[in-house]
Amino acid sequence: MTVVAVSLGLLAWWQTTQGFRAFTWESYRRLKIASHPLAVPNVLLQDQFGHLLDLNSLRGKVLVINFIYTRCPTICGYTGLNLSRLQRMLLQRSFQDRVRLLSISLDPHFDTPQKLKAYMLRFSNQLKTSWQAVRPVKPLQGQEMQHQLGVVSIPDGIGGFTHNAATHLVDQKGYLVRIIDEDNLKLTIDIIARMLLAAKTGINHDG
Amino acid sequence: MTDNFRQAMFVMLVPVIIISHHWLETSMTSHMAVQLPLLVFVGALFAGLLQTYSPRLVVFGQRYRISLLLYSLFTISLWMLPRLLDAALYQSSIAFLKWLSLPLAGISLVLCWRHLPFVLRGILHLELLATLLRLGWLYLIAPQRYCVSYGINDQQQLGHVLLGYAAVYGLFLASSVLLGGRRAN
Amino acid sequence: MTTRTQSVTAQPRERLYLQLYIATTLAIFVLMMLAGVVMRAVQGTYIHMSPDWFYQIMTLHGAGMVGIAGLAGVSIMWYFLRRYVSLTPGLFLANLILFIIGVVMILGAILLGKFGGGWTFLYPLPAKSMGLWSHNAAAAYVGGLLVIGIGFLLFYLDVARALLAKYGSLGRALGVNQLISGRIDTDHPPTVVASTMVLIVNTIGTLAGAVILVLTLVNLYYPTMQIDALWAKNLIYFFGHVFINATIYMAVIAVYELLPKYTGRPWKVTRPFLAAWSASTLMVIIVYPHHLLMDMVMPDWMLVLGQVISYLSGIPVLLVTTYGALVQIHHAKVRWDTPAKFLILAVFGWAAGVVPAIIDGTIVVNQVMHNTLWVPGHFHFYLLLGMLPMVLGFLFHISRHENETTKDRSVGMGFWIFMVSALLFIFMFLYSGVMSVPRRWAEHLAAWIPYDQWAALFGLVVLLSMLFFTVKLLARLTHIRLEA
Ligand code: HEM
Repeated sequence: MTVVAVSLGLLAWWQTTQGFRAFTWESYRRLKIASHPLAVPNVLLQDQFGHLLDLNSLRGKVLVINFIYTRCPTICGYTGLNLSRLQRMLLQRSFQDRVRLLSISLDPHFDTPQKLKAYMLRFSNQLKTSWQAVRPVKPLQGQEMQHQLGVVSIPDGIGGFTHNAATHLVDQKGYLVRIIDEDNLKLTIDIIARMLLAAKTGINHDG
Repeated sequence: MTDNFRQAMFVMLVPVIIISHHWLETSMTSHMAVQLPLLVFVGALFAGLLQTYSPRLVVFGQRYRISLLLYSLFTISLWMLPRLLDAALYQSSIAFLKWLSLPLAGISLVLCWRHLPFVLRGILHLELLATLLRLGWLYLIAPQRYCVSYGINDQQQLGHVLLGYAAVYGLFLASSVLLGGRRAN
Repeated sequence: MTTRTQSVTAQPRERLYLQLYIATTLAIFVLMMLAGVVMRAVQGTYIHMSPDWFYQIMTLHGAGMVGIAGLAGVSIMWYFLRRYVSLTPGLFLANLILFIIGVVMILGAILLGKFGGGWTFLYPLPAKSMGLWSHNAAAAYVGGLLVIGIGFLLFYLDVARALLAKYGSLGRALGVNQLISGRIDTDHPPTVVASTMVLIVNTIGTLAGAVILVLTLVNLYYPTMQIDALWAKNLIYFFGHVFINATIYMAVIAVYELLPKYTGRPWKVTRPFLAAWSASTLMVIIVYPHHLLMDMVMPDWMLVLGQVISYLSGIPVLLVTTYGALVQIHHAKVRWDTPAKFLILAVFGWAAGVVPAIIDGTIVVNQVMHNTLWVPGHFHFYLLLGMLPMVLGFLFHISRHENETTKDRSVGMGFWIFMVSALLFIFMFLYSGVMSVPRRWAEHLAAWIPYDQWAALFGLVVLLSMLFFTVKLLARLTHIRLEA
C-alpha cells in the first residue's frame, strides 16, 4: 500500500516536471515542444511595409520567431540585436534564402507598420531582408496563437508588458520544433543547419 | 475549535473562496499564499466535521494513515511548483485538479494527523517551516521570474509573505513547546 | 557478579546500541586524528602530497571530527537522560544508522569523488570546483550531511517527546518557571536542563541546516536557482557553530553526573546555574534567528551583532560549569581516578580555550589574526582538551569494574602524556597564529616549516596516546554498564 502510494506520488511528480527537469511553465513548455512538435496555427500578418501575408505562405522555409513589442524598454531591444547578429551569421553560411526571421508584435494596436519599421531600423539599416517585423492583423488571432504556443504577456503596470522571451524555431512543414534561449545564437544556427540538411536529404523531421 | 465554530467557518469560507477565486488568482502572492492554503484549510475543516459525525472515519484514518499522509504530502508539494500555478490559469483540467486535490489533501491530512507519532509530526512541522523559508528566500532573490503569468515584483512580494508566514509559524511552534501545557501523546 | 549480569541483561538492546556508538566514536576519532597529523606533516614537508589531497583530507578531518563529536555527545546525553525520562531505543539506534550512512556518503564524496570544498561547504564553492570534483561528489557530501542531520533530529525529537511527557513544557524542563517563581527545586536534574538547552538550540540549528543544505543541493543541479552568498554563509555558520558548541553542552553532562561520584558532593541546580543555561538558550533562540530569518535586508551592524552573540552565547554556561567544578574540588577529598582527571582537565580545557577565542573576537586583534592558525588553535583547545576529555572520562568511568579501586597505572601515564602533548600541539597552532601563519594552506613558507614539524610531532604523540586509550577502552567494551 505504502509502496503503491509512493510510486503514484513519484509518478505524479515525474509527469508534472517532465522527469524532474521542468519546475516552471517556461521550461515545461520547452521540453514539451522538443518531444511533441506543434503545428503552428495560421495567422494573417502585416509587415513593416504594410504588406499582408499569411503565416502559412512561409511554409518551406525555416522560421525563427520572436515575440516583441516596440515600446519595450528592455529585453526587446536585446532581441532585435540578437536577430540582426543572427542574420549576419545566416548570410555567412548562405542560409538567408531558406530561413525567415519574424518578430511578431505582442501589441498590435500600437505597433503600426511605421513603428515596426522604426524598431527594425534601430538594429539594421536594411529593411528588405530575410527579417520581417510583423503584427497580427486580427488581434484575437494573435492571442490565440500565443496561447497555443504558451507565450504569455502580462501588463507590467507601467504601460508595457512582461513576457517570456525565447526563440521559437518552426520547421519547413510549419511545426514548432524547438524553443530556446534568445541569446544562444550558436545553438540556434546549429539547429537551423540541421533542419536544412534534413530537408535536403529528405529525412522527415517530425516523424 | 468547537464543532459549531468549525461549521460556521466552513459555511462562510466555501462561498468566499469560490467568489474570490478570480481576484485571488490575479496575483502570485494571493494565488499561492492565500488561495492554495485556503483550499487545504477548507478540506481540513470539512474532515474535522466529518470525523465528529462518523467515528468510523477515525478508524479509517488510523488504518490508512501512511497512505493518507503520503497523498497530502505529494499533493501539497506538487502545488508548490510554479509550473502548476501557471498551468492552473491556462489549462482547465489543471484548474479542476487544483480545486479537487487540495481540499482532499486537507481532508487526508486531518484524518491521519492524530495517528502519527510525535517524532514524525515534529519532522513534518520543521520541514514545512524549512520549506517556507527556502521558497520565500528563492522567490525573494531570484533574478528571473518563475511564473510566466506574474511579474517579478509580485514574486518578490510572495517571498516576503512566505518568510513572514515562516516567522509566525516558527514563533507559534516555539511558544507551544516552550510554554505550552500540552503533553505529548 | 550475578547481580551485575542480571542488571546488564535487563536492557541488552540498549547496551548493545551504546557499545556500537562507542566503537564508532573511538574508531572515527583515531582515524580523524591520523588525518590531522597527516596535514601537519604535509605542511612540515615530512610527507609530500598534492594540494588537492590536502584539501580533501582537511574536509574529511573537519566534517569527521564535528560529526563524531556530535555522536559522542549524543551517547553521553542519552546515557544520563534516560535515567530521568523514557527514551525510545529504536530512535537512538536510528540516529547511529543514519550517521553511518551519512559517513559513507561523505567518505565516498571525498575519497572517490575528490570533494575538497571544506567541511563548511561555503556557497557557491561546491558547484564551482573548476573541475576538481563533480556535482555528484558535492551532492554526496551535502546529502551525507543532510542524512546525518535527519538522524540527530530524530533523536532530539524523541528527547522533546520524553521531556514534554514528563515536564509538560520545555520551559519547565529548562527550569525557567523556577527562575520566575524564585523557588528553586534542587532536585531538578542538571542533565535535564542541559539536554533541554541542547535540544532547543540544535533543532533551530538543524532548521537552518535543512534550509541551506537543500538549497545547495538544488543549486548544484539547477544552477539557475541561485541564493545570496552572504546569507548562505550566515546560515551555514549558524548551523555549524551551534552544532559544534552543542557537542560540548551534551558532553558536559558527564561532568555534572560523574564528578560528584569522585568528590562525594552532589551537583545540584542553583539559581545561577538555571539562569546561565536559560540565558544561553535565549541568546541563541531569540537573538540570533531574529537576524537570520527575518530581516532579509539588514544593516551590517546587525550582522555583526548576530555573529558576536552566536559566539558569546555559550559563555554563561561555561562560567557556571567552571565555577561548579571548582566548588566540587575545593577542599574536597577527591578520588583522583582517571575519569576524574579527564573531567577536570576537560573543564580546564574548555574554559582556557575560550580565552584565545575572546582575544580573537577583539576587533583590533582580529584584523591581524583572523584566518591564521590562531583560529584552529582556539577551537582545538576546547575540542581536543575540553570535549574529547569529557568523552574519555565518561568512557573510562562507565567501563570500569564495579569495585575498581586499583588504578590502571598505564592509563594514568597515558593521561599525562595526552595532556602535555595536546597542550604543546595546540600551543604550536597559537604560536603560528601569532606569527601570522594562515590557516587552511596546504603549503607553507620555509620560515613556518619548523613550527609545522614540531606540531606534527606533538600531534603524533596525541594520536598515539588516543590509540592507546582506544585499545584499552575497546578491551573494556564488554564491561560497560548502563547504570555506572
Ligand atoms: C591529534 C589531534 C588533531 C590534529 C593533529 C588536528 C590537526 C588539524 C589540522 C592540521 C587542521 C588544519 C589546520 C589548517 O587550517 O591548516 C585541523 C582543522 C580542524 N580540526 Fe583538527 N586536529 C586534531 C584534533 C581535532 C579534534 C579532536 C577536533 C574536533 C572534535 C578537530 C576539529 C577540527 C576542525 C573542525 C578543523 C577545521 C577544518 C577546516 O578548516 O575546514 N580536530 N585540525
